[in-house]
Amino acid sequence: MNFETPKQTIPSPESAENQSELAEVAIYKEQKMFQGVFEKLGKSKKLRNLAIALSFASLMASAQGCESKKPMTQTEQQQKDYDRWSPMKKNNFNYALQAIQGLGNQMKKEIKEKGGTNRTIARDIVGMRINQLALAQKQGIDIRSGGKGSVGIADRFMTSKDMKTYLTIATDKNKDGSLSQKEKEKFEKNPAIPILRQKMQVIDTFGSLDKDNDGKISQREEANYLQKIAKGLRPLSEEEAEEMKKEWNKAEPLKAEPFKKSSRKGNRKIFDEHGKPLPVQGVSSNPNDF
Amino acid sequence: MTEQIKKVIAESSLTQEEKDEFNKIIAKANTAQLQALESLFSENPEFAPTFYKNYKDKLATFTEKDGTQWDKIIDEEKGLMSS
Repeated sequence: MNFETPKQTIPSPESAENQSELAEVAIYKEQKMFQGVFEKLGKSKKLRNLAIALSFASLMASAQGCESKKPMTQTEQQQKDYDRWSPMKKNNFNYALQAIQGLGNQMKKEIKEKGGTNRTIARDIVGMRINQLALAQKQGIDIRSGGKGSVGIADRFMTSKDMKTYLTIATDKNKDGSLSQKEKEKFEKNPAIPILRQKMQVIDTFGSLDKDNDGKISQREEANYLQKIAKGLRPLSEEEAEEMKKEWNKAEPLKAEPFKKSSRKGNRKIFDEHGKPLPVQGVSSNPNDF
Repeated sequence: MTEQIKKVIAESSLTQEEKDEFNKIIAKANTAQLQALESLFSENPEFAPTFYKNYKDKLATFTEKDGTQWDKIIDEEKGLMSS
């Protein structure tokens, strides 16, 4: 695909999001300082030795600093996830698309590396994707949940159930836990709904996997289904990307409220204290039950 | 590590703990780095504690992820090289 490449800039240490980036920036700054001194004072043996010694100290400190790095806390991990999404603040289509494709590829890679049809991995990744969208929205990022741009995003980010949950919450403006008639009508008009209905058909297919008609699907059958969803995470063709880019730029953002935890009856929590998505009450997987 | 470097570290004003750590760092240097350090230490033994402090400051910057501190380190280095 022929997207604009983001400008290669040297980030400041303050904005560096991890140890290696910080070290990279710091050592780059130091090298630039050495060059400046050499240009001004000449590259004498003493200055050269000093530069070698100080660079050695930087390398040792960098290596030692990375070794002592503590594992990230849940909050730090969430912040990192958010930082990954922060370019969307700039409404930069290319960044968003790259992030989506990156997740698709990551899912494929993990499924391939960790056992092919591991449903836990698939679920974790679905959770991660919802988390990222929610974090992005919480930070005031326009993720265009109701615009046509969301069709492409939600299609690649969510299973049908997650997608329906997300769209339902976004439409439930008064946060009373259910959709009013007016909200239902609005929900039906959401351009993502045809995609959602299409996804629901996959659930019908899932139902048809129940060969002995006992109402249960074996783990193997469920794994096959999840793998089918994973296969749906494909890179966009150039035409699709262009189309999505046009729609993205055209779409009016839906100003959905950030998700909030609340004790009010009927309000929906979608994350537990560990940041894991929780099932949403009242959301059916029946395609006719809108 | 060369005897000259060992001697300078041993005779420096650093504590024994700091000297031990210093020796461990220097043990990881390659030939070119050792030559540079030996040359500096033999001409200016007082550079040994400066070098150690420089390393510790940098380590703190990387451990604490405090990028603002790095600019101060660079300024100090610039002063050291220009003096």
